[in-house]
Amino acid sequence: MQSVHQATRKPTPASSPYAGQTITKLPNWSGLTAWDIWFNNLSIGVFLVAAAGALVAPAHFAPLTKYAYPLALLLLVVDLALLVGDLGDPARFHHMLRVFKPSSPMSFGTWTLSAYGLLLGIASVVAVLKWPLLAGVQAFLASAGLWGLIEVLGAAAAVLAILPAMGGILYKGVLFSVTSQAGWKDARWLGGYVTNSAVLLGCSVMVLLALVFGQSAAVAALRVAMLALLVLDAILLLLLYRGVAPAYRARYDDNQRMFFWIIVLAGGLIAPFLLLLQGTLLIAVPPLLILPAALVVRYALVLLPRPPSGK
Amino acid sequence: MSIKDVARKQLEVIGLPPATAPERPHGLIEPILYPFRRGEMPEVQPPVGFFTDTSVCIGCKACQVACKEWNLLQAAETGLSGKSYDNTLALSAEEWRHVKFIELFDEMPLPPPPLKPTANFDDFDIKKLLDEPKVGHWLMMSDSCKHCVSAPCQLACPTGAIVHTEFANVLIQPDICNGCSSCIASCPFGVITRSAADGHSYKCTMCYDRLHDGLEPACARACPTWAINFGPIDAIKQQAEARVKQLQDRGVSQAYLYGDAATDQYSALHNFYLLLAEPGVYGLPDQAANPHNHLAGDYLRAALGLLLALAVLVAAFALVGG
Amino acid sequence: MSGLGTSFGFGACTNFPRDLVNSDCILVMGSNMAESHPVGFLWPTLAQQSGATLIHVDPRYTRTSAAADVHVTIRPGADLAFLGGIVRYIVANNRHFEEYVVHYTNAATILSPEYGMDPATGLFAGFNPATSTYDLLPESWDYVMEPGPDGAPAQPKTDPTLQDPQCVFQVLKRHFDPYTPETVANICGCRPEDVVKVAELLCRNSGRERTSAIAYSLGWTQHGTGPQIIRTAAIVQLLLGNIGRPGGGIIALRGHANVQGATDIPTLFNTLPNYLPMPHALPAQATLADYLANGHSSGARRGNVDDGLWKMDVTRGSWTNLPKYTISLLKAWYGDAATAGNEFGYQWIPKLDEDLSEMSYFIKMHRGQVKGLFLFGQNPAVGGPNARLQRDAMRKLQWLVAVDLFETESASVWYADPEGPDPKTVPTEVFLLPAAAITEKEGSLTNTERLVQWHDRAVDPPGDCHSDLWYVYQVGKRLKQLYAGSGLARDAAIRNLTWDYDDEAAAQPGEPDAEKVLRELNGYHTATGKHLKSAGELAGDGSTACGSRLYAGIFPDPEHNLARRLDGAVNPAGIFADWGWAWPGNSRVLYNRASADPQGRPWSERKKLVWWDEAQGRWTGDDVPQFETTTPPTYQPAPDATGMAAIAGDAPFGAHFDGRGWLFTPFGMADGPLPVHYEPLESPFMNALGSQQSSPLTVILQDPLNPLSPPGDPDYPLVATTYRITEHYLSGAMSRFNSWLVELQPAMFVEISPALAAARGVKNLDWVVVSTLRDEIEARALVTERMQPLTVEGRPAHVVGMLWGFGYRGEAVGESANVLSPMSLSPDADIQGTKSFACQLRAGRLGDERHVPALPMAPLPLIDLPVRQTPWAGQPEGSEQHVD
Repeated sequence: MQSVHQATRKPTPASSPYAGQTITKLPNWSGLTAWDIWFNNLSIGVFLVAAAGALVAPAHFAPLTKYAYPLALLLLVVDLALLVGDLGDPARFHHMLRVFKPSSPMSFGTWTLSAYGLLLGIASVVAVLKWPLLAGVQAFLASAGLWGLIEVLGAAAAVLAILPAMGGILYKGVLFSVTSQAGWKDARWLGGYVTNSAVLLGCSVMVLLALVFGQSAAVAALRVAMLALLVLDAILLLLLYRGVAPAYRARYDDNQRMFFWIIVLAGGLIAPFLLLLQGTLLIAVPPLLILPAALVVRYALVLLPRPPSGK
Repeated sequence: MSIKDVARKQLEVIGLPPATAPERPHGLIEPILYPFRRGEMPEVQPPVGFFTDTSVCIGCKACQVACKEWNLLQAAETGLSGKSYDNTLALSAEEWRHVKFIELFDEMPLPPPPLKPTANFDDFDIKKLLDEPKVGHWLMMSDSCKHCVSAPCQLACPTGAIVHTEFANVLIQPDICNGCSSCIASCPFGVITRSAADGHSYKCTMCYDRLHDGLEPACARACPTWAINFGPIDAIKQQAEARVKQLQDRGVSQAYLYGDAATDQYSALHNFYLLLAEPGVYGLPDQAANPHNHLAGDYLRAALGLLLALAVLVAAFALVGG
Repeated sequence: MSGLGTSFGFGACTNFPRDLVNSDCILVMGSNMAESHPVGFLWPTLAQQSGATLIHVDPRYTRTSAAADVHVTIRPGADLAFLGGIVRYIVANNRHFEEYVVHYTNAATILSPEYGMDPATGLFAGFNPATSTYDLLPESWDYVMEPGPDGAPAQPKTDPTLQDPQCVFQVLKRHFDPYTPETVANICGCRPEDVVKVAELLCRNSGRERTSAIAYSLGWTQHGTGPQIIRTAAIVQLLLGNIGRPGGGIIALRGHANVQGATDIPTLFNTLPNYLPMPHALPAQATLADYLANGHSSGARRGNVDDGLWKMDVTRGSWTNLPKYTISLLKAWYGDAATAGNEFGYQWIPKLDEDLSEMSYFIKMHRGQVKGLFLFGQNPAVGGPNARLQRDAMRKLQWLVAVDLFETESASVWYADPEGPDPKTVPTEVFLLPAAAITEKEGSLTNTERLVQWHDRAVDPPGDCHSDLWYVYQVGKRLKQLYAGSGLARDAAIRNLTWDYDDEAAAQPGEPDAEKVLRELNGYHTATGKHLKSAGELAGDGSTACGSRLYAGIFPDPEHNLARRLDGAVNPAGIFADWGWAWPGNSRVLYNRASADPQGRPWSERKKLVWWDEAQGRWTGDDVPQFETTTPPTYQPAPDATGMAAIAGDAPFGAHFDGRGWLFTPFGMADGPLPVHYEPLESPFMNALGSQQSSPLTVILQDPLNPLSPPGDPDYPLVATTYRITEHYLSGAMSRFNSWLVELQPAMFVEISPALAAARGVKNLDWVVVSTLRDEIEARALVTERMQPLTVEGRPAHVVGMLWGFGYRGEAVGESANVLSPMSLSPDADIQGTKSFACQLRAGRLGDERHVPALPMAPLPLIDLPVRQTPWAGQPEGSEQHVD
C-alpha cells in the first residue's frame, strides 16, 4: 500500500520568488543629492554662524557678514539648482508653491528655503554694496540719503532670515528619515545630526573666511565653538549610526565601511579635534578635513537604500 | 497621417465629442499661473475600494491588460523572467497592475513501481484519500496601489498633486506633479515610480474618470472570476469577512484579510486583500509602517540638534568674542 | 464531437457552461479551463463557493490546478485509461444510477452473439489486418433485434435486470475489468489512489440529489484516440446519470467563440450543414431517393467503402426527418431551380469519394495536387500539425488567399519562413486581403453552449478591410458571373445557386446583409416567403427552404431576430432564456427529458429542470424541453410507429432510433463500439493493455516530411505535449501583434521538471533544443515543479510541455512547437494527435542558420490620446486638465 502524500509544506517567504527582494522603490534622487545636502548645510550654516556672530559678537563678525551673506547666497543658488535639476519636470518646480503642507518635509523645505533665499538675497545685495570694491556706489547712496535705509533693510532681512534658515536645515534630514526606504526609515537622529553638522560646517567655512579677512578674534571664538560642536557631532553621529547600523552593514562591504570610518572618524572628527585643541596653529586644516568628511557622510547616507554594488 | 490623427478621425466617425478641456498651458505666463488656479471642490461620495480575493484569482492578467487599455499605458519591453508566469516583475509608472505568481511545491515522490493488478477496493482508505490536502500551491495575486486611508505618498507630496478624491481613493494629478519623487520614497509598498517619458510619477488612479460616470474601474470590470471586487467600502468589507469565514469553515485556515483594518502603525487600505500565506510570500510588508508616524519626533530631534549647536555657538561667541 | 454525437445524438456540448454553478462536482480533464476559458471559469469558481469539488486531471499543474480542490497528474495520451479506471470503479462497486441506466441508456440491450473483444490484443472481433478495418464481421456490433409484428421495424431485445451476459451492461463490465487502479496508475503515471479518489468523488456527487459535470476541450480531442476518450467520458456520465441534468453533462469547451457556428454551418468536409450526412460517390447514394433511404451516420468506415456504409435507422427518431432537412437545404441553395423533377438539385452537390479532411488535403497540396487555398483567419503555418509540412505544402500552391488582420506566418510563408527556400523559387502567388475586426462587422456567433448571439457593427472597417462574409459573397458573385453563360452540366451548381444577400440599406453596393443570410438559415416557406417559426414546419416537398435545420426558429419573423435578444432575466435554473437563442429550439440543456424520472417527475427537488405537468398535459420547467412537448411520460409507441412517434415518453435521446443514450455505440465509431486504451502513435511506452499498440484505424499520412518514430524509440524517450497560454490566443496571429499582450508573455518557452532539467544539465531560462523525427526547435526552458516526472511501466516518464502559439511574425517571434508534431488522423474525427508525441531534449541552441531571424515588427505606436487626465470637475485642488 503506497504512502499518502505528506501535507504540503507551508509557504514561507523564503521559498517565494518575491522574498528577499526590496519592496520599496528608490526615489529618483541621484548621488548628487549628497552634494545638495552639503550645499544646503553650508549655505545655512554659514549664514547662521555669520548672523549669530553679527548679533552676539558684532565687533568681530560684523565685518565678515558682507562676505558671508553673499557666499551663503551663492551656496544656496547651487543647492537650489541641484534640487530643481533633480526634479522629474524641472519646469514645474514652482508647483511646490501651490500648497503649504507641513506634513511634507519637501513642502516645508520649499517654503523655508524660498523665504530664506528671498530674505538672504536682500541681505546679500546690501552686503555686496558694503564691499570696498563698491565704495563708490555706497558713497553715492549715502549722498542720496538712502544708505541708512538700505542698511536697516539689510539688517532686518538678515534677522528675519534666521527663522526660515533654521527651517531650511530642519527639513533636510527629516526629508530622508520620514520615508520607507531601507536605512533612512530607521535614521531617527538624521535630522539632529544634519542640523548640528550644518552649524559645524558653517563654522568651518567662517574660519576660512575669517582667516582670509584677518579677523583673528573671530577665529578664536570659532575655534572654541568648533571644539564643542565636534563633540556634539560625534554624539549625534553615534546616535544616528545606532539606527542605521543593520542597513549600513548590509549595504556596504568591509572595505567600504573601513573607508568610511577612516574618513569620517579619523579625518572628520578626531584629527580636527586634536588640531583645534592645540590652538590656532594650522587652524585652516581642520575645516579642510571636516568639509570633505561631511560630504562623505552624506554620500554614505544618500546611497544607503540602493542595492549593494554588483547586485 | 500620424497614428494620433488616425485615432482622432476614428473618434469623429464614432461621434464622440472632441476634447472639451482647455489646451495645455503654453508660453511663458500660462504655465506659471496654471497650477495656482483652483476649481470647485466636488461633493464627497461614499468611499469605494477594492477587495481582492486571491483565492479565486486565476492569474489571467485581464486586470493588467484592461488597465493598460483604459489608461493607454505604454507597453513595456519585457523578457522572459523565469519567475513563473510573471514577466512584469513590478509596479511602475507604466504598470499600474501587476499579477504575481508564487509556485510552492513539495518534493514530489515518484510513485513506487507497479503492483499486480488488484480488484480489491477495500485496500483504499477512502476517507483518508478524500481528506488529504491538495499537493502544491500556485498562489496568484493582482498587486496595485493600496489606496491607503492615510497615505504616506499623499502626506509627502509637496505640490499637492496627490490627493484623496471625493471617493476616498488616492490620486496623483498628472498636470500638477513635478516628479520630485517624495511619494516614491514614502510608499512602503513600492507602488509608484517616475515615468522616464515625462518625468512625472504615476500609479493606479482607481479609474477616477470611470468613477465619475458611475462605472467601476477597468480591472474590476475585466476580472472574470470576481477576484477583484469593487464597491462601497462597507459592503466589500462585509463580503470579505464572509468569504474568509467561508474558507476557514472549509478548513482553509491560512486565509486572512490584509489591510482591511488599521493597525497601530498603519491605516486601513481601500484596496485590501484576502491572502493565503504570509504577506512576505507575496512581496508585501509584514507590517507596514507609516513613515509619518515619526514626523514630529524627527523634527524635534532635528530641532534639538540645531538648538544645541546654536547654544554652543552663542556661548562660544559670547565667551571668547564678547 | 463524434464521441458525443454517437453517445447521445448531437455532437455538441450538452449543458451550458454557466450550468456548472449547479454542479456538485466538476471534473476538468483534457482542458485547462482557467487558462483557455478564463471568462467561463467564473462558473466553476462560483460552484466551488457553493461547496462543489473541482478536480483537475492533467499532465501539468496549471492555472486550473491552482484553483482546483484536487489535482492529479497523468501522462499525456493516457486519459482513456484513467477514465476507464473510473468506469470500472463505478460498475464494480455498483455505484451507477440504476434507474437512470436501465431506462435511459442501452445498458439493457442485448448484443449480437458475434460481438467480442480480445483483451490480449485490444481488438474487437472482426478485425481485418489486411484493410486495417473491422469489415470481417460487419454485423457483430449490432443489437439483437426482435422483429415487430407485420413487418414493423424491429425493437432491440433487452434485459432490464442487466444480468444477461451479452447485455451491454455486462459487456461493459467485462470490457473495463482490466482497468484496475494499479493498471491505470501504471499507464498514467499517477497513484492508484488517484483513480479511486476521483472516481469516488464523482460517484458520491451523482444520483438523484447530486450531479457532476465533466469539462474537456482539446486536451482530449487532439489525440489519436480523441473521440474514444470522449466516449469513455460519455459512458461515465451515462452510468452516473448526469446527462440531461442540471449541473451535469459534458461541457465540450470550444476553443473559439464561433467554432460551434463554424461546424454548424459547415466547414466540415464530410457533412452538409447541420451535420447531415454528406452524400458519397457510391451507387448506394446515386440518387436522392437512395441517399434518403440509406442515410448513414457521420462515422463511415474507411478503406473499401463500397459496402462499408452503416445504415442509419431513418424510420425512428428525429432522423426520420432527413428528407425534410435535405430537401429544405437544397431549396435554400438552389431556390426555384430545385424542383421535384430534378431531385431538387441533388446531382449538383459534389459527392465525397475520398478523405478530404484538412490534413489529407494538405498532403495532396504537398504533392502539388491542390491549386489554391483560401485561409479565412486561419494560420496553418503555426497551428497545423507538422507545421513544417504545412508550410512546405502551401508553397506548392499556385495561389493562396489569406484574409486576415495581420500578415500572419501563413500569409508570409513564401518569404518569411526561417526554414523556407529562397523566395524567388516559390511559385505561389499570395494575396493578403485585409479583414474587418469583430467590431467592424455584424453577424452572429455560436458558442460552446450552442447559443447564437448577434453582434452589430460598431464602426465601419477602415480602408479596404471587409468582413469574411463580404469576401465570400463577392467571390460568389464573381463566380456566378463567370459561369453565367456556361452550358455545361457541371457548372449548374454555380449557375443555380441562390446568391442574393444585398443589403439595400448599405451605403456601399455589394455589402451583404447578414440578416438575409440568417433568414435563409432559419428557413422560410418558398411560396409565401414567410419565415419558419420552428423546425416543425420543415417539409420534404419543396415548400420550405432552410439552410440550417437546427437554427429553424431563430428568426421567426422579420422583426424578431431572436439572436439579438438581450434580456438579462435569469430563471431558478440559472438560464437566461431570453438572451440570444440556442439550438435546438432554445433548449439550453440537451436531453433534458432525462432530468425527470420515467414517470415525468423530477429526480429531486434540488435537481429539477423539466417535468411533466399532468394538468396541462405538457412538459414544462425551467428549460425548454428538448422533447416532444405533449408526449406523456407513459407513452409507449405503437409497433409500427415512425419518426418521433416511435420514441417513447421515457426516451430522452430522440436522435437515436431507440431513444436511449448509448453506452455501447452499435455504429458511428469506426474503431470500436466501446473505448479501448491505445498508446499515441508516437509513444515511448508500449501498450500495457494489449498487443495492438495504437488505434488500428488511425490514418497515418504518408509523406517524406511526416516520418513517425516507432513506439519505444530510445532516441525519442520523452513525451511532448502542446498547449495554449492565457496571454496569447491560439497561434498568436492576433496576440503577438499586440504590445500589451507581448509584454505579458514575450517569448516562446518550454516547461520541464527539475528532474529532467538536472538530467539534461539545464538551468532555468537556459536554451534547449527539442527534437522529433520531423524537426527541431530551440526555446528557453522554464524549469518548474509544476511539471513532474511520472513513473510509467516502471520507468520515468518525462513530459516536455510546449506553447504552440509562437511563430516568425509579430512583435514577439519564436519557434513553432507544431513543426515537431506529427500528422495523423484520428478515426471518426480526423483530428490531429498533437497533444502527445515522442521527442528528445538537449541543452544548447541550434546553429546560426536555424535561428528564427529578427523579423519582429516594431511595436505599433500607441494612440496618444489624452486620457490620463482626470475630468475637470473632479479635481479638488487643480481645475483644468490640459490636452497635449
